[in-house]
Amino acid sequence: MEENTRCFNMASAHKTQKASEDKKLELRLGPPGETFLGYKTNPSNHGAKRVLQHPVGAKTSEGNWFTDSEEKQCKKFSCYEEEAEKVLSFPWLSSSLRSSTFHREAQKELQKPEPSFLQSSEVEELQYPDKMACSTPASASFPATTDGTDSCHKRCALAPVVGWPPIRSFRKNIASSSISKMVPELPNKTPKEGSSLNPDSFRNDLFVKINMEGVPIGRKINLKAYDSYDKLSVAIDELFRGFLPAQRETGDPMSESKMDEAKENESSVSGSREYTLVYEDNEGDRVLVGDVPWHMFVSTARRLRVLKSTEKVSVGVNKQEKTPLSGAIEL
Amino acid sequence: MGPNPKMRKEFFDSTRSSPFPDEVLERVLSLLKSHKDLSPEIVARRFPRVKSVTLKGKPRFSDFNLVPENWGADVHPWLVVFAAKYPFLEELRLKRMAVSDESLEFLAINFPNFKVLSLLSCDGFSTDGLAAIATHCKNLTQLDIHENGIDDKSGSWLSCFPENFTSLEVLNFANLNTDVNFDALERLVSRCKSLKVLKASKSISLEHLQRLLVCAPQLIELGTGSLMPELTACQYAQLENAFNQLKNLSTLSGLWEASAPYLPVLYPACTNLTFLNLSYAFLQSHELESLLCQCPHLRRLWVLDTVGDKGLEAVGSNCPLLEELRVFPADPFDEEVIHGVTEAGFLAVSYGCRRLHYVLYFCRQMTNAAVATIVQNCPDFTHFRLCIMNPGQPDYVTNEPMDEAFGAVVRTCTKLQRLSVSGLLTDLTFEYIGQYAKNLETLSVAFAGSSDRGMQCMLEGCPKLRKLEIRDCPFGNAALLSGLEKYESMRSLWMSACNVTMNGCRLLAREMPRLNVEVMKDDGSDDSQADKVYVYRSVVGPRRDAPPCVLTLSGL
Repeated sequence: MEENTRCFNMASAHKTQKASEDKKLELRLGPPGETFLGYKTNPSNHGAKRVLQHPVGAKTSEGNWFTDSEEKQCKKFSCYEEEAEKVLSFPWLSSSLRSSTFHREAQKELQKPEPSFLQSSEVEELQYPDKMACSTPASASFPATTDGTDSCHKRCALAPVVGWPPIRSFRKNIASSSISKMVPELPNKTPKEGSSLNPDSFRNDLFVKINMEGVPIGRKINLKAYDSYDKLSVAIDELFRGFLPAQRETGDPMSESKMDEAKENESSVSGSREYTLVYEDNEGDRVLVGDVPWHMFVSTARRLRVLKSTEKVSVGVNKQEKTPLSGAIEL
Repeated sequence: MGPNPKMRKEFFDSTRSSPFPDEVLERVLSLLKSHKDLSPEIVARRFPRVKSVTLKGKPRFSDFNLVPENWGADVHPWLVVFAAKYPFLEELRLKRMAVSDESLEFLAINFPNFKVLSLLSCDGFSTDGLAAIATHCKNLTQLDIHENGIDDKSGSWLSCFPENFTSLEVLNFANLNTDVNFDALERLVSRCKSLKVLKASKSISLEHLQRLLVCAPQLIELGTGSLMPELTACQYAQLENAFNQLKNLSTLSGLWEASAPYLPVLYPACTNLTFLNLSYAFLQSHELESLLCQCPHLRRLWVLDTVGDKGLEAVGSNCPLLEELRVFPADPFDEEVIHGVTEAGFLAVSYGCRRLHYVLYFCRQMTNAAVATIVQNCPDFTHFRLCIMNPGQPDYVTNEPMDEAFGAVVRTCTKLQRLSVSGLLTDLTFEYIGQYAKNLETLSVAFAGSSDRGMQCMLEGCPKLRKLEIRDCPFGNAALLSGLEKYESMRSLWMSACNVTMNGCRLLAREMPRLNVEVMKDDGSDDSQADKVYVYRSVVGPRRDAPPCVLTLSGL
């Protein structure tokens, strides 16, 4: 759901928003510092607020959404009353707006709270996430993603936000044009170690996301830095070792001292029976790490996950069986 | 007839007779620097003798496709007036203007003393227009075609420079892709002995480059063509030699498809480099490091984020004089694979480059703590443009908003003139900005803020605010209307995808008759929505060259 909250062009929500904006305009060109009645914050802020309230662990969506705005409703009503009074004394407000009609309207607004209005706009928003044009989804380590987000992730990837990131168009195409060129072997020069000789390895880095179940912060790992599954396992151990004890203690995975302790105490992550290492490939399938030859793994792996083995998780070991893992994984 | 350029007038020929000494004139003229919308007629009336003109047209967000193409800023009406009033015009620099081939031809024919043409981020013209310039401008010294939306039909324009034409000092055609006639280019470069700046396009190969450098060892700024390897060992040696001759090079750019085996060829020319633009070169950290070791005097560096944090560590270690760093994303829209730079790279630079004052940094993760440390290390920032590419993303360690990061920036960097914010931001960020950013002139805000209060803080604080551009923020009419008087002291306000309505804009226009309030609507949007709003001062009222999709609300 997190990705949903980053979907910005919500036509229907905007409509109701704008209608209320106009109403507000007539009633109060008020002093700063107040929020508007029924103001539906930018969806990104909704998502943000949820993040703030629920930094770690599972996020169910609907319940929290409503709770959020109910609280806000109450806050806003009290603000609103103050504002309606203040606005009449605003010096530059043109006199036509100070008519008795206006005043009557203001009173009406105060007396008739409109929870149904708010409710319906929220419902609209929730119904529309699939259809909304989404911003480019998170590539960074954003806490706790559910599988639901992956599908939105794919949808979102198809409809990027116009003009974001703010890159000039002539800069946008250099990636594709560069990678597509073959770099031929040089007659009298030995290529330096690590320099590329084919398009696939034009760049010597292939960073993929790796998430560990129960750890809100994902990491990145460079698959091209290794040449075998063994070395990859070692690297993954290093990456996540520090998270294990830290998780149980204060939830501060970045604390260095804890990392040191962890190194002494913990058994390896990827070698243990407690955890299963899986990856998502370029076809979207979930595969057990180690199933395919190393080079095939490197060229098809898009994302890694460290899952708790105690969960009943079936991965697509034979690729015909694409088991949806949404139910089983709780991150 | 007036388009919407802001005009900054530049100077008189001091040999012309004038009742005032030059120092007085300069002082008066600097006070007259005009940032209001003017018409060509008014300009001609106010400034009777002009040699050099700079015109800036469209809002900056047109660079990111947020402004309708036919919005305006047509240069032609200006040229017509200039031809009558300033026939001895020598220099024209245009930024974000609409320029047609007809206009370029008009320019080429009507100004016999014309010397300098610079087109930056303009559109509407093709290489035919360049051909007209090359054909007719006998005294041309500078042709600078930079980052434009140009219809690149053919490279034949370059062959239009007459064989007896020798005055060129600056030639920048890096923007173009079509092949030019290389022999014509080589002859041109050979006979223009004063050529100081040559920025070639991608179509120029390494072999070509070698031949050009042999003709022009006096170059101060060089933009190479493609560094795609295709040389024999012998050719490689010749190229190395050619670079060795460039003793005066201070700027190096281009470097398309730069690859490791060929980078060393550049080394001999790097000793005096102050500006290295690697933003088209997919370099790795070690390649960058090797190159930086050759550039002890580097002050400005532009790179792609392929160099990673490790590459930026190398920057910190090797560039103690660095003043400006720009890190561009190689794959801004690729969400599947994670790479690029993080807060670690920026931190590393700040530890090593204490003179850093200009940064443009695209990244996918950042923390408040890192930014606070960075500005402690480098308190002299004048330009701080941080783009965390995922909209609304918090501090990835603490999950908090990035408010404290920008709070630290504005508190610590008292000389800050330009700020771009990103990440998850509440109104608190804008409270900080309003309170502390006393020298801030340009502010860019996207996907940020919690309520109208955010924008109000910006408008009520920031005494020197000139340009405010906002997109996708929850600011509505109250926010817009809280800045009424402020807008008269500002150059412009841009708001798009916010919560402003047509009624709000109408009210603004009514209250402030000296402002032009332009509204652009998106297809299919509600009638009451003001999708894009652009507000600027004007002494001439609504412009007449606005297309139908731009509605000007004016109180006049």
